[in-house]
Formats: sequence, C-alpha cells, structure tokens
Amino acid sequence: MSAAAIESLPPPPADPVRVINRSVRCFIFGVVGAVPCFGLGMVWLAFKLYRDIAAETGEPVKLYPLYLTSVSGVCLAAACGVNDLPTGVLADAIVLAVLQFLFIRQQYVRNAPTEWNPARHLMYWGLGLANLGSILSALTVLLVIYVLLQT
Amino acid sequence: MNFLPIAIRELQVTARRAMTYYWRSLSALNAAAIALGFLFVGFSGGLTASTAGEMTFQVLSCLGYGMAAGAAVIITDDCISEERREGTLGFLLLTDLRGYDIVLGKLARISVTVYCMVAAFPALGFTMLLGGVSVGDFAKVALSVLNAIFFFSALGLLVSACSWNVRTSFSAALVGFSLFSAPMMASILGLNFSGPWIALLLATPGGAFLAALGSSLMTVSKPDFFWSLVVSHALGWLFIAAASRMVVRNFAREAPQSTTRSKAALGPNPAAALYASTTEQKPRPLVLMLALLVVMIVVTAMLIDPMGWYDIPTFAFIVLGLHLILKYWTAHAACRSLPSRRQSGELEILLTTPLDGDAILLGSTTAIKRQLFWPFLFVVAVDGVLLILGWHKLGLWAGFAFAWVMLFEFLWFVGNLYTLTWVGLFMGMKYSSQAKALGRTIFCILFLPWSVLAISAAFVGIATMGSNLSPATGVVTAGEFLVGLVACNLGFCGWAVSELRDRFRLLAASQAEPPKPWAPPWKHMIEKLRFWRWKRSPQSV
Repeated sequence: MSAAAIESLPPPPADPVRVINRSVRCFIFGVVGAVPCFGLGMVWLAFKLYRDIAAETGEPVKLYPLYLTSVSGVCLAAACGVNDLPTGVLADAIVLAVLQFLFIRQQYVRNAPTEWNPARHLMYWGLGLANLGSILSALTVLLVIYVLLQT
Repeated sequence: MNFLPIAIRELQVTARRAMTYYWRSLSALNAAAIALGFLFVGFSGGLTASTAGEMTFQVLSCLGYGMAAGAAVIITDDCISEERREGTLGFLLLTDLRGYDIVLGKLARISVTVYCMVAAFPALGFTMLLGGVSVGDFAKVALSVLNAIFFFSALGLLVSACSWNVRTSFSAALVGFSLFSAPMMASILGLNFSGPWIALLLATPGGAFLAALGSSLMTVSKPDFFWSLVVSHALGWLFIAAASRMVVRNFAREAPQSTTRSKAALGPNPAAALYASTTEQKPRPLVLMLALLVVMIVVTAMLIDPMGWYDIPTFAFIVLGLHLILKYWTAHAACRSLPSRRQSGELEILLTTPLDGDAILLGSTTAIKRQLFWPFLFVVAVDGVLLILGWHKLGLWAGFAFAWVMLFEFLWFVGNLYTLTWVGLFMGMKYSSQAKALGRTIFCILFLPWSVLAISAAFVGIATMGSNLSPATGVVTAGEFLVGLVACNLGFCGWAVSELRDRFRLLAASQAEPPKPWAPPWKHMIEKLRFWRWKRSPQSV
C-alpha cells in the first residue's frame, strides 16, 4: 500500500469506554478545579483532557474567544479595582460568567463529534467549571492584592 | 586515545542538553529571588544594610551548600551501578579504558550542579555591596561549596561502584551523606567540638564551610579553614581512587538473589500478590531504623543541651525527620515498583492475562501500602506520643496551637505520601532510569512548593519595595504557600493518575523511550503562528 493510500485511510475509531472514562474524569477535575486557587493544577488537567478527548472524537476545538473574554474580563476587573469601583468588578464578573456560559453552550450545541460520546456533556461541564475556577482564582488574587494595598 | 574520553563525552553531552541551561537559569532565579526577598524585608526598617547583607549571605550559603551537596550525591549514586546492571560496564573495560577513566568520566556528570552553583554565585556576591561580608568570606564560601560538591560526588561514586541495585546505592549514599553532614549539623545546633573531637569536623567538607562562614556564626566550633579544606579534599580523592579500583574489581559481579516469593494470597487481586511477593521488604528493619533515628535525635539533643533537651524543638526534629524518611521510602518504593517488573518482562506477561492496567496499578499501590504499613503506624504512634508530651509541656491552652500545627503537618504528610505513590509510579514508568524518576518525583512534590514560596516572597518584596510590610503580608504569604502546596499535590497527583490510567499499556511497552527535546511553550506558539500564516498564504512564508 502506498503512502498516499495510507494517509487517505480513516483514523481508527476511538475506544468508547476510554472516551467515557476520560469525560467523567474531565468533569471531576473541573469540579475540583472550580475551587479558587487550590484547584489550579486541576484546571490545567481539565483543559488538557478536554483537548485530548476532542482530538480523539474528532471534535473541533475553538477556545480562543474563551481565553480572550477571560483575559479582558480580568483586566477590566483589575481596572475597576484600581479605580475603587467594587460594583464594577461585580458587574464585570457577572457579565463574564454569563458570556462564557453562553459561549460554552454554543460550542456544545454547534460542534458535532465524529465519534459517539455519551458523556460529552460532562466534558463540557468540566471545561466550564475549570474555566470558572481559573477566573475565580484570578479574581481572588486581585482581591488579595487590593486588600493588601488598602491596608 | 584522548585524555579522559568519557569525561569529555559527558561534558559535551551536558553542554548540548537544553535542560542544563534551564536548570542553571532556575537556580540563578531562585538565588536572586531569595536575595531580593531578604534585602527588601531587611530594608523595611528592622535591619541595617550590613545585617541584612550578612543574613542573606548566611541563608544563601547554607541553602546552596545543602542543595549542592544533596544534588551531587543523588546524581552520582547510581551512575556506575546502572552501567553494571545493564551490562555495559564490561564492554567499557574491554577497551583501553581504565577504572579511573570511567570514574572521572562519571564525575563529569556533576557539571550541571557546578554550573548551577556558579550561576548562583553573583547573587551571593551581591551581599558584599551591602557590607558585613568581605571578599575573603565570599571566596572561602564559594571554595568550600565547590569542595563539598566534589567530596559528596566522590562519595556517591564510591557507593555506586560498590553496589549493584538502585535501592542499595541510593540508601547507602543517603546514609553516607547523613554521616558526613552530622558533625556540621551538630555543631550548628550548638554541640561544642573541642580537643581531639574537632577532627570529626576537620574530615568533612562541612568543617571548611563552617570555618568559611567566619564571623557569621560565632558560637559554632570551627576547625581551621585551610586544613579542613585540604583534608576533606584529600578524602574525596581517596574515594575516587577506591571507586576506580572497585569498578575494575566488581564489574562482573553477579546480581544478588531476589527475595523468595511468599505463597500467601493477598486479597482478591492477583497482581497484588505478585507484586507483594517481590517488592515486600520486611517491616521490622524499617521500624528499627526509624526507632534508631528517634534515639539519635534525642541523644544529640541531650548532648547539646543536657538541661533543656526535653522541649518542642527536639519534638519538631523527631517529627520532621521521621516524616521525611517515610516520604523518601514511599517515593523510592513507588519509583521502583513497576519499572523493575517492566525490565524483567513480568509486566508484559501480566498484560497478556485478563488483568487490565487498573488492576495492575491497584496491585502496585496495595503492595506499597502493605510494605509501608508498619513503619507508617510507628510514625503515627510517635506523632501521637509527641503531641501528648508537647501539650503537657506547653499547658492546656498554649498547647492548642501546637496541636493545630501537628495536625497540619500530619495532614500534609499523609497527602504527600498519597501523591508520592502515584507520581512515583508514573515517573518510574516514564523514565528509563530509576534514579532520575526518584529525583524528579522528590523535586516535584517536596521541593517545588518551597521554590514557589521563595520566588513569590521575592515578588512581594519587590512589589512593596520592602516598606509597608504588615502582619497581613505574613498571613498572605502563609496562605500562598498553603495554596501552592495543595495545588502542587493535587495537580501532580491528578496528572499521574490520569496518565497512568490512559496510557498504561503504552508506558509498559516503551522499554527505554528516548527523551523528547524539551522546548519552552512559546516555541510551540511561534510554530503554531507560522503554520497559521502558512495556511492563510503559503507563498508569503
């Protein structure tokens, strides 16, 4: 068989048991990662697992808007904190949470994996919780810096 | 033939390895962070410039000495025995190479440690600008640290030349390290070496180091710097000569007989029975060793302070010493549990049976638990007794704080044992060398949080410029350390469990996977950006 013919072959199907196990694990990592600061290691693992599972099931990964909104939201919160606007920080956090929830939901609805994964929703829950944990961690750090500067 | 060909090769390999540069940068960063942190704290008003400089000098020197000596022993303790196990030592001796060629070649492995120390010296030298430290003090400390690296690596080489398996070599090297560091530790703690007893300090590199610290530690008994340096250096060369002789003598020594398999079934998992049969070490010697350590600490404390030895610092030393040793044993057992099976082919055979990866992992963890159950119980019992004694000593209400600290230490200890087991199993499967796996495991779980603490303390110092430091800053630093500790343990444990469960068969099949060249994350990002640009317009790239 020629190299071109080998390349044109479809990839082997993903092991469903393995995919389900990993999706459940992604959810567990996400739950632990939602704890601000303490779960930062788990946040990284949840994101890594999400990417791995998506690659295995042939699902497109587009997380740039998520990162972009996270970074801009945290910067905005920092700006509000510097200008002594606690309501601004709160509003920013709520808008950020809603935006990101909608974005993850949109990803869940629109992206269609080529492989069947009955635990796909758990994978997205894990992603969402991990993302929430990372934002909460950033906000906690900002809050601590703010309190230290005030004292 | 070139002069010392193996040494030249080792140096060239080390120079081309990317990790050498990253380790060097990391050690320089750590030293700079510690120095800056201390200086900013010193400049907050509590200390004069010269006192701050002197304190920074002492702390950096002691940290550098401890880490460099420990790293030298860890790097060299398995380098010759590994060659012997793999059967390549005999091939080397078939050529024109002599014993000293091999030993000095292996000594070149410590070049990474030397590079790291040299990178950290500018931070140490910075303290001279503040006052309180002279050029002579700096030069003496630098010389004594380099001498310690040489001495302890020579000791590691001798141990490695005499032993066959990794467990023996590592344990013997650790015992040697403790023995040769004990006089210095006892002297720092207040034991006065006078008369002929000063010879104990003289023969170790710690004596030269203490003498080099000079006026910094006035209460410490110090031998003459020059004589201690010469004697310990000569002892190091003696170790090298002995190792060269032992390499030639012992290269064909056969492997020690493996322990007999017990026929007792250990629960429903056959993998547990299989693993426990060979990895199980009799718990009595381990418990006896721990008891001996307790006795040694108590006797040293009694020698140092006959009237006030029965106090909290003695209890703290006992608790921390026992915990550290048990952590090391756990990491060691975990790192060698699966790779030794993989090397002997047992793992391949197991995987052809209906047992899956999860069952084998369960078997390994169960075997480690059974192996360390009695030592663990002994440590818990000692902790309990010390808690009661400490509480009684401090009184009912003051004892509460002590009890909380003990509880925190115990929880940290248990968490570390669990994490070390999983990370050790994973690292053991990932790296072909057991010593490397053990080193990485201990670094990730036991050293990384302290490194993070040092760097973050420096950042706090820079951010506040040493002023406005309030008690709240201390609370935040403690909280930050706690967060780093939990995040590190949780993250590494989750990573190890996830990787072992997902890729167990792949890891079991890879006998000696060549290490992938490590690249920093920004290189991946640049490559992705290039690919993206190429996709958009292939002609422009």
